Amino acid sequence: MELSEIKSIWQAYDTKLEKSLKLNIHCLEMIQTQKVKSKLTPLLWFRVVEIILYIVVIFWLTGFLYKHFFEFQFAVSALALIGFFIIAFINCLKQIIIIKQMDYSHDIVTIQSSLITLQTYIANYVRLTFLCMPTYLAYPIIAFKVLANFDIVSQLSRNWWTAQIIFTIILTPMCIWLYRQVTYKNIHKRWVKFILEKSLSTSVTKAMVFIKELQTLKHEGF
Amino acid sequence: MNIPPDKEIFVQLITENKGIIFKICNSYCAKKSDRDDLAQEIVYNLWKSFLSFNPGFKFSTWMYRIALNVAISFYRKGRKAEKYIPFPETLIVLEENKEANSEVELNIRLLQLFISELKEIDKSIMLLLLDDKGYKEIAEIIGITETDVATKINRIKDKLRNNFSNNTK
Repeated sequence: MELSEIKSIWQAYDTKLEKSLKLNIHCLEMIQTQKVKSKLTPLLWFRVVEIILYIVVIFWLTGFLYKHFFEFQFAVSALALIGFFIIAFINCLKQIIIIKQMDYSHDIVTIQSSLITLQTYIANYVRLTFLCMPTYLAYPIIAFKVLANFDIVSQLSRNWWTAQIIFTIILTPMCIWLYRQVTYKNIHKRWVKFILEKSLSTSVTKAMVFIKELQTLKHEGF
Repeated sequence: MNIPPDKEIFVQLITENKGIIFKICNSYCAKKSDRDDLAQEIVYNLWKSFLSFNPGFKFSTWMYRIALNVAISFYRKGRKAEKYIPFPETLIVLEENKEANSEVELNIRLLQLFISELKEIDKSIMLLLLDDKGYKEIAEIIGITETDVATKINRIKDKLRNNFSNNTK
């Protein structure tokens, strides 16, 4: 069957629709009276609040670092946390920029790629959680110092710290491995798919199909 | 201050182009309930973006861009979208046509089926091509080059041709 024949079938379909389609004006008016609000607005506000919190925490930790710069345990803990909060801040900022630039009247490839990029940044939070696990000791070290002016590093026994250091050394490569594994590239792995789907509440598999389709378009070298 | 979009002009434009919404919904959703939800979501997004519509451009091109973007996003969610209207009314109703020619009907159904089986972007390209959009316009709506559009169309045509010939065997 040639394109002209397919087009004539489509024209017959158009003629049929022209005769038989009825628009429910009442329903159309109801849609117009709905509060015009983007579905992404709640996410945008959430991210704005989050970014303000990140700024506050980063400034506070920088002050803490400045105050305890020559006390190794506090300086390293503060630096580790500042590092992670800066990464989270950048991730959050990128999401805000994407949401602000989102306009469905742009071309399809641009908008759909932006939506997938947004999903990827949201998924990065899960990945960051894995990556920052080995720095779990930084929290009690700083918290005890700030809340009780108590230095747990010097007060707790050497054996306890040795056990913690060994545990951290074992945990670090595992967390880096998890960070690298939990990406859209590994969506074919069931456990990765499970984690991403639980964290994103959307069908990542279909997003992956679309990414592949876009990649095919870009790399086939038409 | 934003000027509220003109409701009457919007209703008129949607009425004139309701077929576009219907065809997109039919191509991207298999279930009737999903089609109803998608139609509502498309109109909702068109209304929301209506202020940004430049009357110097073709309405159908602008409408296709928004409607296809909404349809692809809706399709990818893999579940029903949020309902905007709190009552179960159908936005676009297809009335039964008793005079329908059975062979034409069969071909229309087959074509709809084959289009619904295409990939997300291929579906959009095919819908635009069948609605007599030129390669340049399709390229602008999709966001790819005219050469890419031409190559894609050739592949889709081959696929549809094969599907039809396999079906007639």
